[in-house]
Amino acid sequence: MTKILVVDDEEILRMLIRDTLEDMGYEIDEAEDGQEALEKVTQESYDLMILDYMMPHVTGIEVIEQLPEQIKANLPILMLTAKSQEEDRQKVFENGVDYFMSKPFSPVKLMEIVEDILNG
Amino acid sequence: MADDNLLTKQNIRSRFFRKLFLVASIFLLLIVVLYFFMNAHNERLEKEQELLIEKSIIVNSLAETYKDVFFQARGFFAYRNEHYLQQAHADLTKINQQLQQFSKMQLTDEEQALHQELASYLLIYQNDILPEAVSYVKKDDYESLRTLSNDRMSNVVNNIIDNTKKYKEKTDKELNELFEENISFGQSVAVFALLVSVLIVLFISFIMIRVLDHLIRPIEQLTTATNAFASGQSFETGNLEKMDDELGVLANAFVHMTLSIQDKEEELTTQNEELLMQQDELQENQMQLQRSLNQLEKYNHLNHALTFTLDKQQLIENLHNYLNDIYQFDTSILTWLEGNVHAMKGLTVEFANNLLQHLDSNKLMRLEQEKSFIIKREVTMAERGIAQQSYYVYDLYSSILNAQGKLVAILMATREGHAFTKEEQNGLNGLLKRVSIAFDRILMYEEVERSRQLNKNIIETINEGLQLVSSTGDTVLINHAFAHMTSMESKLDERLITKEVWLSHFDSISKEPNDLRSFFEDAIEESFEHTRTLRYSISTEQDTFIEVYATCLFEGTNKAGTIFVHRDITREYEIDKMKSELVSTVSHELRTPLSSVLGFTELLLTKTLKPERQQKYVETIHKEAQRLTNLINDFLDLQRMESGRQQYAMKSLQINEIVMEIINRFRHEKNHHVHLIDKARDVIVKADEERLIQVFVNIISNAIKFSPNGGDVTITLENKGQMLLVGVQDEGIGIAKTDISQLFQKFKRIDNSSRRKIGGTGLGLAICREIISMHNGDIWIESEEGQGTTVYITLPLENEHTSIIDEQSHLLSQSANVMIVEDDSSLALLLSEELKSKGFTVIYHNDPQRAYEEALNTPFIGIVVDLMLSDDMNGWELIQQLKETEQTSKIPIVISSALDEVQELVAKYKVEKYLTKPYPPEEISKALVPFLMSQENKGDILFPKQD
Repeated sequence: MTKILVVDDEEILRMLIRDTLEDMGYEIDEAEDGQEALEKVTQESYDLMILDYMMPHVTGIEVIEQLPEQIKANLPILMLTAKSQEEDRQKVFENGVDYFMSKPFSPVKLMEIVEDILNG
Repeated sequence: MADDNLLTKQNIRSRFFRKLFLVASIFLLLIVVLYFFMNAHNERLEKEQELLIEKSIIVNSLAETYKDVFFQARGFFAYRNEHYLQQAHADLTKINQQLQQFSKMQLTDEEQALHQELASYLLIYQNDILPEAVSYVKKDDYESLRTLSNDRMSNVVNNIIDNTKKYKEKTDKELNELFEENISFGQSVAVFALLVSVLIVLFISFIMIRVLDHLIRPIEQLTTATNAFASGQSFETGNLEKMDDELGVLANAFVHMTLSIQDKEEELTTQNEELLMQQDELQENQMQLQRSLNQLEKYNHLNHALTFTLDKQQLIENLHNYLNDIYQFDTSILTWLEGNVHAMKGLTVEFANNLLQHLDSNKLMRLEQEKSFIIKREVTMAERGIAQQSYYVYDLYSSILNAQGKLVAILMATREGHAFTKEEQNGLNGLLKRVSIAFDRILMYEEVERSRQLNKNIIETINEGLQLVSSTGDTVLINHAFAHMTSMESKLDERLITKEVWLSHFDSISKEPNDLRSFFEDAIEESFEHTRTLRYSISTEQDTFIEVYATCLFEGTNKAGTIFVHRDITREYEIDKMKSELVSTVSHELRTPLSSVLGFTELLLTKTLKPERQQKYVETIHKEAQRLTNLINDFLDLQRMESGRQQYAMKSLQINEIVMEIINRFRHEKNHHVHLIDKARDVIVKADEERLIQVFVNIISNAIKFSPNGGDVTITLENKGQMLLVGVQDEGIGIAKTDISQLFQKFKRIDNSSRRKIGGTGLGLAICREIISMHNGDIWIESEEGQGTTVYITLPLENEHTSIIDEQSHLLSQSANVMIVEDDSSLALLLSEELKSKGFTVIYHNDPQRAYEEALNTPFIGIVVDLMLSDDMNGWELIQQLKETEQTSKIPIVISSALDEVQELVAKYKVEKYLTKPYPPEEISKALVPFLMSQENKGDILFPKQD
C-alpha cells in the first residue's frame, strides 16, 4: 500500500488532506511539525511526503535541508506553501523539490498531483 | 749709549760685585795662611814624636840586653856552662853597638848623661866585675862571688834598670805632652776659623744692608711719586734724578713719562670736547628720526588697519586717532552714516547724537559734491572760555564716498585759531580717498560673512548628512548630521578627511562597504555628471539605514567636486520592513482558514459523502469561517488602534462592577470557575467601557483557553498607590520564561503543540496592550510553565484619596476576610463596597460549591449568604454543609435574603444574623463587626462612627 506522510502544523488541514487522499486508497501518516517529520521519515519508508512550508521551529525548507541524502534521493516531496511568490518557488526548487502547491489549494487538484507523482 | 757706559762703571751690580770680591779674597788668604801654619806645626811635632819613640826603643832594648847579660852570667855562675858566658860576651858587644847607635842620635843633656852612665856601667861590668866573677868561679870561690854579686854587681844592675826605667817614664811623659800640645793647637785653630767665619758673615750682612739701603729708599720714593702722579697730585722726585746709577735713570724716565702723559691728556681733553659736541648733534638728529619714525609707525598702523581691519568700529577709531595725531583737532567726530558707528574727541555723546540726527541736508549735499570744505567763523562764547579776545575757528567738513560716489562717512573737525593749510587739506583728502576703499572692503566682507554664516547655518540645520568631496576623493566638508550618522564626530573639525581615511572608517562601520566604495569611486569620477542613489546600512550600536545620493558640484562648467547627501531612512526602512512582514504574516494567517473552507467545500461539492462526514465538514467550515472573521476583525481593530483612528469614549467607570458583569458572562463555563477577590477601594477609573470589557474578556478567555484541564480563574483587585492593579490568574499550562516577552507581538503565538491546538488570532494581547496604553496603564505577564499564568493590568485611579481609607483599614487586622455568596452581582457589589469601606477584604462567589471550597481554604470573619442561589445548591444547603464541616462550623453566618425568616432553620444552623432584603447596606457592616470583635477578643479595636 502506498504510504504518504502529511506534515502540517494545522490540524484541520491535515484532516482535509487525509480525508481527500484516504478516499483514494492511500495510507496516510501525519506529523504536526518538522521535528516529528524528520523522526518519522527515518523510522518508516514513505512514497511521498506532503510538506507545509511555514511551520514553527523547523520550517519545511529546514526539514528538506536536514533530510539524510539517502532518503532525500528516494522520497518525492510535495511542498505546500502559502507563499506563491516567484522567489519562494525558486528557493524550493533549489532545494531539490520538484512539486509544490500554493495554499489555498483544491483537493481535486491535490488528488491529480499526487496521482501524477506516484504513477510517474 | 752714554748712559750704558755710565752704568758699567757706576752701576749697583758692579759695586756689589767689587765689594763681594774683596771679601772673598781676604777670606781665601786667611784660609791659605792657616793651612800652611797648621802643616808646619804638625810636621815638627811628628818628628819630635818619632825621635822620642826611637830613643825609647833603643833604651828599652839596652835595658833588655843588660838583663840578658846578667841572666847569662848568672847561668854561667850557676852551671859553669861556657856557652852562657860566651852569650854574655856577645850581648855585651851588642850593648856596645846599641850604645853607639844611641849616641849618634840628637841627644839632650839628660840623655847624654844616661848614655855616659850606661857606657860606664858597661865598662865596669865588662872589665871589672865579670872577669873577677869568672875568676872566682874558676876558683870556686863562691863566697867572694856572692860578696861581689851583692856588693857591686847588683848595684850596677839596679842602677841600669833604674836609669832606663827613669828614662822610659820621662819619654812617655814627653810623648803625652806632645799629644796634648797637638790637641790644644787643633782647638785654637778651630776657634780661630770660627771667629773668621763670624766676621765674614757679619761683614757680608753689613754689605747687604748697605746695598739694600741704597736700593729701597729711592724705590720707595719713586713709588710715592708714582702714586701721587696716578692720583693727580704734584710730586717730588727729590734728588733721585741726580743719581748716576739705574735708579737715577729710572727716575729720569719716570719724570719724562709723566711729562709726556700730561701733554697727551691735554690733547685728549680737547678731542673729547669735540666729540661731545658731535654727540649732541647726533642725538638731536636721532630724536628727529624717532619722531618721523613714530609718525611712520602710526601711518603704518593706520595702513594696516585700512588693509586688514574687518571691524567698522575699530577702523573708525584707528582712523580718528591717526587724524588727531597729525592734524591736532580741538574737537572732532568721524561717523559712519550707516549704523551708529563713530569716534570723537572733545564732544559729549549727547551732543554727538544730536548733531548726527540733525545733520543739515544742505551740508550733506554740499559734502557729496565738494568732498571737503572749510568754514572759517568767529569763536562762540562757549568755545572762547577764558580767552580775552575773539579769534577765528576753522570747521573742516570732509566726506568719504564709496565706489559709487555715495556718501558713507563724514569727518567733522574744528581747530581754534589755527587754519588748515593747503598741504594739510590735500593730504587729508588723499588719505580719505584711501579710507573709502577700506570701507568698501569691510562692507563687502560683512556681506560675504553674512552669507557664509547663513550657508553654514543651513548646512548644519538640515537633517541630511552633507559630504563634499573634492575631485581627488578627499572629503573637504561635512556637517554635524553626517558626522553623527557615520560616527565621525571626532573628524568634524578636521579641514580634510582623506579618501583612505573615510573609506576605511566606512569599512569598519558598515555591512556593505564594497557597495559604497564603488558608488563613491564612480561618483568622484570626472565623467560622472548625473545624480545617483544608494542605500547602505551602518551597524554601530544599532543598525542605521541610510540613503545617499551623489550629485556634481559645478563651478561654471568645470566639475569642482561631488556632493553626497546622506539621509537617515532607518525609520522608513523599518516601517517598510514591518509592513511587508505583516503582509506576509497576514496572508499566511488568512490562507490557512481559507484553505480549510475552500477544501472542505470542494469535498462537499465533488464527493458523495455520508451525512456524519457532511455534518463534520460543515461544522469545520463554519468554525474556520468564524476564525477568519475574528482574524479580520482583530486585525482591523489593531490597525485602527495603531493608526490612532480608534475613538475612545472615556467615562468614569466602577471597575469592580464591570468585572462582576464579566464574571457573570463566564458563569456557565463547565470546567472553570471565575471569581473575584476585591481588596481595592475607590475603584473608579476613567476608561472606555467597551474597550475595557474587550480587554478583560480577552484575558479571561485566554486564561480559560490555556487551562484546558479546568481550574480557577481568580481576578484580584488591589490598590497600588495611585493605580488600580487587576490580576487575572489561571491554573493553566503556563508560558516558558523565554517566550513571555514575545507575547505582545502581533501573530506571535507561542508555538508548541499544546498551545497550537488552542488556536487564536495571535492579535489579542497586542490589542489589549494597545488599549491599556491608551488608558495610561500597563500590562504584563508573569508565568510559571505548568503552574499557570497571571496577567496584570494597572489603571490610574480617578480619585486620589485612597490613602485616607488605607489609614482606616489599618484599624483592622490583616485577615478581616468576608465572603459574599450572592446570585445578584449588583447587590453583591453594593454589599462589597460597604464592607470594603470598613476595611474588610471581600471575596465574592456566586457558586455555592465554590464558596464552600473557598471557606475551607481561607479564614473568614463571616460569610454573607443569599438563600436563592444556583439550581444545584441553595443557601440553606451551603449553610448546612458549612456547619457540618468541623473546619468551617465556627464561621459566623449572616443570611441576606428576600425571603422571610424561617425561625427553625435559623436556630438549627445557629445563623448569627438574618437580614431581610431590602435593607440599608450599613446593616451588613453592623452585623459583621461584632464577629470581628469577638475574634480579636482584645476589645481595643476602634471603629469609625457612621454618620
